[in-house]
Amino acid sequence: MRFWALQKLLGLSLKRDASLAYSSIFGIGLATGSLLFFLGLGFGLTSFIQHLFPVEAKRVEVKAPQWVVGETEYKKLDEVACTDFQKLKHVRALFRKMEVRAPGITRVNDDILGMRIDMGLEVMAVGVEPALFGEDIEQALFVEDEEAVPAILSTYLIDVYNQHFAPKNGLASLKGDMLKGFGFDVIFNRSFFAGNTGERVRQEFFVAGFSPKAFLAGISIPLESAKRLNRTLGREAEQYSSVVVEVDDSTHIASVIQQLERLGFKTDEGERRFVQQLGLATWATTGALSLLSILIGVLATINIAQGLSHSLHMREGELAIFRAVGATSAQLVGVVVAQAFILALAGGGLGVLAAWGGGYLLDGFLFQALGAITWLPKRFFMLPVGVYLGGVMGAILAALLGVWGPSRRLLRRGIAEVLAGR
Amino acid sequence: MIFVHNLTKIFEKAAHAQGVHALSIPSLEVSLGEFVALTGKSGSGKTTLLTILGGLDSCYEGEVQVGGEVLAKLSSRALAKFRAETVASVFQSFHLIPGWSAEENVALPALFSKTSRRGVRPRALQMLEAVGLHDKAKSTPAQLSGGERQRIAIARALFAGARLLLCDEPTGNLDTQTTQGMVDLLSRLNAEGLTLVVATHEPLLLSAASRHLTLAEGRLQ
Ligand SMILES: Nc1ncnc2c1ncn2[C@@H]1O[C@H](COP(=O)(O)OP(=O)(O)O)[C@@H](O)[C@H]1O
Ligand SMILES: [Mg+2]
Repeated sequence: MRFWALQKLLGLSLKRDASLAYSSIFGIGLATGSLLFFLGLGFGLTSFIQHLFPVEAKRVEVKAPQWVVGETEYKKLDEVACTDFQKLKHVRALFRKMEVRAPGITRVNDDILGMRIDMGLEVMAVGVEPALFGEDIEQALFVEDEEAVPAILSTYLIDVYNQHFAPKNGLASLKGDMLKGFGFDVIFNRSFFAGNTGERVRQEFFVAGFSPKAFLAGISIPLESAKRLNRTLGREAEQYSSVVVEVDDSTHIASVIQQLERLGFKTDEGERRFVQQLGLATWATTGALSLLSILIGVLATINIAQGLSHSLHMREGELAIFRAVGATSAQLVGVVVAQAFILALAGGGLGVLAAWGGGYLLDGFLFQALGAITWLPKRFFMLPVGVYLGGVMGAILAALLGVWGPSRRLLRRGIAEVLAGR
Repeated sequence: MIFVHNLTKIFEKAAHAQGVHALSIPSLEVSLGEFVALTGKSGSGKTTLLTILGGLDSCYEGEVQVGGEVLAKLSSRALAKFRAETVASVFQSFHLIPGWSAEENVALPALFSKTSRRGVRPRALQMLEAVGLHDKAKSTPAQLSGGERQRIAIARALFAGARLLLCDEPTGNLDTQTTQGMVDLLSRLNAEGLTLVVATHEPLLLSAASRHLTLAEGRLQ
């Protein structure tokens, strides 16, 4: 059949069955659109969770052993232990952390951003290996310096300040980099809660950057600075507070945790489990909603099949005439299939547009509702182009499935019978 | 042109064990250029015979040869080609496409052939001219009379250049004047070389025909 002929016959059948065409397009569009929308939300939320809780699947944190009543000895989390960790199978890297083991306060009495700030703050400091922050920070700034120790603040801290503290106290909100370079003193061995705990030591710090991986309730400083401060303060300076163990592949994490436990160390799995469960819950919900969409798709397919069946029945006489003037079975089936293909393409395209638009609106709504939180993802709705394409392909497949039965039934009846009106 | 040998046609009915014995024809021949009128009471088998000859019904016993083709031996594809090119069937109800113009209706067979688009319009107009409706090319069936629709149906049947025309009661729904026009048209087509088999009771048509065949309960008299 020539293309112009196909075009003419398609025009005829689409016009004849306009309501069928619209309802098919609507059904397919609804199914494709909702499926893509829910998938996009699932992808978006998953990546948001990963962004919010950056416990990577490849890392596990070994906490310093706690004193256990009745035990006389405990495993020290020191360089010896680290050497052991390094030797474990599948371990790729270690990131040591050491708290500054004395309380400290900072007295801020300064003009900050045009405002007179005068307040005392309890400060906890933890030393970390610079590599832990990766590209979150300017690595060149993050080196031990007795004059002024670089401090990394948690990104979330800024948000908490902007969302709650600043508005309540009539202070201007901060934009991350405004604070960079800001210097402050901490006096260690002094605490509002614990009073004086030893000889006071004063150390100057400056804000060197922000990272979501930074210690939330204090400042993160270079490991070497923490060691030096602990030595100066006369505290334990050989044992680490915790060690982050990175494995070569996330599938080996369980085996590494087992090996660490065999060595007598406890890992902090709570957060990992929480994130995993959150991720699972997200996908369970996404899965349920997607299933619903697939159900809609099945209904749309049945709708197409029934509608087409009905319409072919109504047009039986016309189709018999087509055959009487020389149309082959293949040609008639071709027209029916082409019709379904066009409906699916239109419906699928509509679905893609609807999902995209829905995601766009949802994003807009959420960003407006959640305001100035800086650690929000770029989008809540994320969908790879491939999934969009897959959605359209699925719609086409479903529609072809829907015409399979009717188009076979189409050719079963004899031409003479139909034309005689029997 | 037509050669029939030992043709029997039985309509199987699910309810009765005995089917309807619709046709029983030991032998029938129609030569090129003949104008055959097929008569017989209603239910005698005229329509059944025409549909078998037109390749629209393949459920029968016996041999049917039309235009040199043994119909039972044709594949469904070859049968479609046979319907497209060798034989032209015109039915009692015209089965025109409502929204399409006369010209488009006449050109319907072109949609299923390998014809290039360019030749289609001139050919359709030529066919309309042949049935005397060249001035109605743009009219839709709703704007045409019964006789005009019948002519459109004939023009469509002849579009692909068939040499055999099978007509089922072409004057069934026409008034006397239009009937005369139809008789003239068929006579002229026959004079131009078309072989005709026409089921009819119309005296005017019967007198125009070169041979009469009468069916009674599926048998030739
Ligand atoms: N599809 C069919 N199923 C059952 N019986 C049929 C069918 N078509 C025709 N018949 C029967 O076959 C006989 C011949 O019918 P038909 O060829 O239409 O006669 P005519 O055209 O001469 O009026 C009639 O008895 C009719 O009832
Ligand atoms: Mg009849």
